[in-house]
Amino acid sequence: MKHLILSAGLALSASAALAETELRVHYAIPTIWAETQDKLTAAFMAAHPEVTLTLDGPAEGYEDGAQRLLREHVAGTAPDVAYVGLNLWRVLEDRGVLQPLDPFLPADPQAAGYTPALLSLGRFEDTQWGLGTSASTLVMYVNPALVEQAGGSMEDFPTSFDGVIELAAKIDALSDTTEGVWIARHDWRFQSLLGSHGGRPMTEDESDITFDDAAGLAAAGLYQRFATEAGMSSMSENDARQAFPAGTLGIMFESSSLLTRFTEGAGDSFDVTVKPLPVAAEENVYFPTGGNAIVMLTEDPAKQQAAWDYIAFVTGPEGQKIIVENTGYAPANKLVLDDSAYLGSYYAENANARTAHAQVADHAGPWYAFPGAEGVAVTDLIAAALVEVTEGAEVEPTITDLAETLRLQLGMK
Amino acid sequence: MIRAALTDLLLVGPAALAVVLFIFLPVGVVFGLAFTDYQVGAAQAEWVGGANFAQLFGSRLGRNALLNTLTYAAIVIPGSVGLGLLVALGLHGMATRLPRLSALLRAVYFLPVAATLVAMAVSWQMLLHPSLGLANTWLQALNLPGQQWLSDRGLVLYTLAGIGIWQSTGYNMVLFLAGLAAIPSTLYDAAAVDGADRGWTRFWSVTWPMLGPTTLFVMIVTAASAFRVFETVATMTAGGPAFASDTIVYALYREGFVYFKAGYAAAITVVFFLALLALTALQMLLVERRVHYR
Amino acid sequence: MTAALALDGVTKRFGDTTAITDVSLALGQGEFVALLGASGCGKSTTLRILAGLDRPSEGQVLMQGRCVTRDSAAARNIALMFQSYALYPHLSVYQNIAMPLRLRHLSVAGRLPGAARFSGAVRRTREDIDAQVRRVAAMLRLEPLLARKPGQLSGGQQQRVALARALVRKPAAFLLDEPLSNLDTQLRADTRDELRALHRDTGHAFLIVTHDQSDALSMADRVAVMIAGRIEQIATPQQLFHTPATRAVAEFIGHHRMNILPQGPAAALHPAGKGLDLGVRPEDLRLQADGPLQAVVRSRAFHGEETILSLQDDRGTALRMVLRGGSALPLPGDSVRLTAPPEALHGFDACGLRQQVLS
Repeated sequence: MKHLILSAGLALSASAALAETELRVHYAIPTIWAETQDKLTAAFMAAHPEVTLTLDGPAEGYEDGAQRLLREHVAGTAPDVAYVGLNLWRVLEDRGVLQPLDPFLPADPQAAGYTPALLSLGRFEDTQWGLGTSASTLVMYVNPALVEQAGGSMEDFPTSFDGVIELAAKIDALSDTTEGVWIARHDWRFQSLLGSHGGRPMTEDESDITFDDAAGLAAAGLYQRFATEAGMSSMSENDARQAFPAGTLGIMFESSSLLTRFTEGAGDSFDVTVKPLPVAAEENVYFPTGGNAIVMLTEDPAKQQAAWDYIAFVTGPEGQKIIVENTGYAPANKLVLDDSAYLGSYYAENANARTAHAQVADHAGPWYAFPGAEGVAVTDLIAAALVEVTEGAEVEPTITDLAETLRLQLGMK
Repeated sequence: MIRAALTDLLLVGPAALAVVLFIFLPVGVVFGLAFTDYQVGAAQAEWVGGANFAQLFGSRLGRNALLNTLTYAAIVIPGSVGLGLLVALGLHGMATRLPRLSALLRAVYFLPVAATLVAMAVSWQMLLHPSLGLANTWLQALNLPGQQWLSDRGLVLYTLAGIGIWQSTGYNMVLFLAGLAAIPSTLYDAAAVDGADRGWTRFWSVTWPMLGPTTLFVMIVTAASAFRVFETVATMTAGGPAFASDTIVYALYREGFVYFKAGYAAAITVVFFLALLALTALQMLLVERRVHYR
Repeated sequence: MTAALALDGVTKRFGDTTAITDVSLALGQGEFVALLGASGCGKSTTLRILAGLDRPSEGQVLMQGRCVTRDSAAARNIALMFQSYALYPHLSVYQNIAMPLRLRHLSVAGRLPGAARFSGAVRRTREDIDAQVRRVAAMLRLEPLLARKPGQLSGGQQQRVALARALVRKPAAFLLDEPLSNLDTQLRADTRDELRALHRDTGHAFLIVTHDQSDALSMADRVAVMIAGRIEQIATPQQLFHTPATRAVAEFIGHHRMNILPQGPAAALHPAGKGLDLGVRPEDLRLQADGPLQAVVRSRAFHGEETILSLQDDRGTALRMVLRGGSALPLPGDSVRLTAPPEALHGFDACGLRQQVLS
């Protein structure tokens, strides 16, 4: 609360006294982004000498970052451009922090590499509020050593959830310390399984919850099947992220953004291999995409143009190349994928990255953010319900209850 | 007269102004916010009366956080006060016979207090890892089943309480050692002559009552820190799994800084503030009344 | 008669330092003995060994002729009143007095609140304790104070509580550590009388440890003088004053320090002075025009009933004399002649032992 007071004081002195071509950029998670941001800044300023970029001190995480942007907006000291979590830009949009990008988008976005799937990451109700800069989807990380010990084969790796469960059960049975499969009980992972079954968490107009349909029950049911049929333990995300590189976990469903970390963590002990998430439904399949969106905050028309130049640069092929090569995130521009001049050699050396990124191009979809004041809060309720299901609560009543609770809490009824 | 008054004002003024500006005013703002539905970043807020408080005490999540905090405190207070006392008694007795070892052990017990908790949390996570951690390795060596220390809903709060005890025992030990050193040795002589010359009788007739003020102080300090538990929760479990380790201060953080619900978070702050105020008042009352032996 | 409490050849060492050496001391039934010594002479150590709070390095502690050297303080049933009183600050006066009885006669369970409701034996014991506490409280006029905490009492009241706590359980012997040192002059005199009376009324063996010789001489039947960890002499106050066994005792006892004339020059006063040091108390020196001792007055101090003169004799020995009455006092710088009656002379040989001076 003290911050509010201070911000109110700062608001008095703050004004648009900045030079016309100076842009302030906000980003979060320096452990992943710091070097990449420096390279992006250097590359952009080389291409646009009339614009000076300053990076704000980064926020530790996406939530902190969003908090800070909200505060700075109240105080009138917000940066001009910001990288925000793909699931959090709606919070900012909801509070009027963001500027629409539609006036700046080229007439034919597709030609610039912005496919409809990629545009959907930053779009709400026909307004483009942000553009994806880096994408990740849920993939399977596999420990080939354990798979082979359990009598499975990497060449003939299962592509259905049933097959994965069967294999995981065999890995789990290898010894006391090995575990077959693990997935976090978490909103985004659930949305991914849901999308794989062709389901959606909400209707298009966000007026109702829809994950209590057959697809949702099947997705939540997977949690329970992992536990009962493949012996999935209830270890925490931290525990699992240690266990997989340590070689005691056979198959881990995780964000593709962890590839570098797992590969380095496993070292020489085994070859971390990425397999695409099984697709369970015939149609309507999509994978909610995590990662960053870039958004525009400045209201100054002169700065807006410079800001757009920057946004276009980092979401364009050159910026995307820098981001992909430095973070391992999947690109959010079709051009870099289509034209092997950009990333061809990178993918030749990084087969796992190719697998993960191909999945993004095929199935990228929005990470649904629930609307309104309780939007973030309900994601924890989803996670809690998944814990219960994993620990044996009946799937159907639990998910139905959850959907009802969400409808009430989100004011959908 | 007037000059003297002006001088006084000049001396007191700045500090008083700072206190008002940086403490009273923000606290006032928090109290105000607690009755609104203000959201971080929102342009305006609605007056909602006691709705936030009703939600804290009425909702499943709110009550869960309160209950978890009380359970945690109910384990940590007696645990770390009792253990701190035992360790202090042991080290105090040892200090005359084995002074070096006693001093070494004292430093060892005090380490958790001096260490950065967040760094320690990482170590704990490694120790308690279900398949790679030492804790389960030892259990398995004893042919006992391994535990999901931090991800079993029924266990996680007790694990955190255990860590809480580990963390505060050293501090309590130091306070008790000071208390023990202050007990006049003639009282022990008197008790020995009266018939309480060893063991429990001696403890109950001299040590325990003479430690009364120290014990009360230690209890209040431990209670205050137990009710404030946050770092271990935030770094090790994030309140999970499924809110099983959600505590009042973590809920405050979660609502305000993750969910952006500033009004509700302010209401939690107010309740928490009043509870700590009551605790402090209780301490002062008890100290005045009972344990000063006057 | 077997002594109520006795030390036999007790030595106590702490590391390299020896606190007391070869101390033997007997406290007879119903006797009042004072252990007198300067601070740091080892009397507290002696007391702690008697009480059972410390173990001797050598020698025996005996009670009624039985060896109790290895017995704990609690097992000896010796009462000890501490110099600091050592009252339990958290307990009321009543509870303080009752403590030794509760610890001795009630089990852990019996001490719990409400235990009397469940056991007839506990109830009877408690009634018995209550009667004794009230008896002792009445004896020491503590009844109005029973509900108070020690912190609410004056020094004198605290001391009476400490006495009561020590007396309540009919001890085999009663040890008092500097019982009067914390009291002002008036209270001190009253308390002396009171202690004497208590000793007479209770008939217990009393051992009082003090650094104040007037306390020791005025109260005790016998006084043990302790100097540098050894007992120099045990005797009645009169014997101690009139026939000190050693030169150290002679110099220690007496309101004014005894004058010692070294062997040789002392012959001026008495022929025995040829072979012995001669001691003479300042009170026993007289001004006499043809006295054998020549001295010069250095200074003069008026103390009301008496006047103290500091002198130096012609051989350079510092002397002191006490004069009663105020007439015809010499002034500083005056030359005077002194004498002393032969019966007032104390002879000590080269080892400091007393030798007869024939008059």
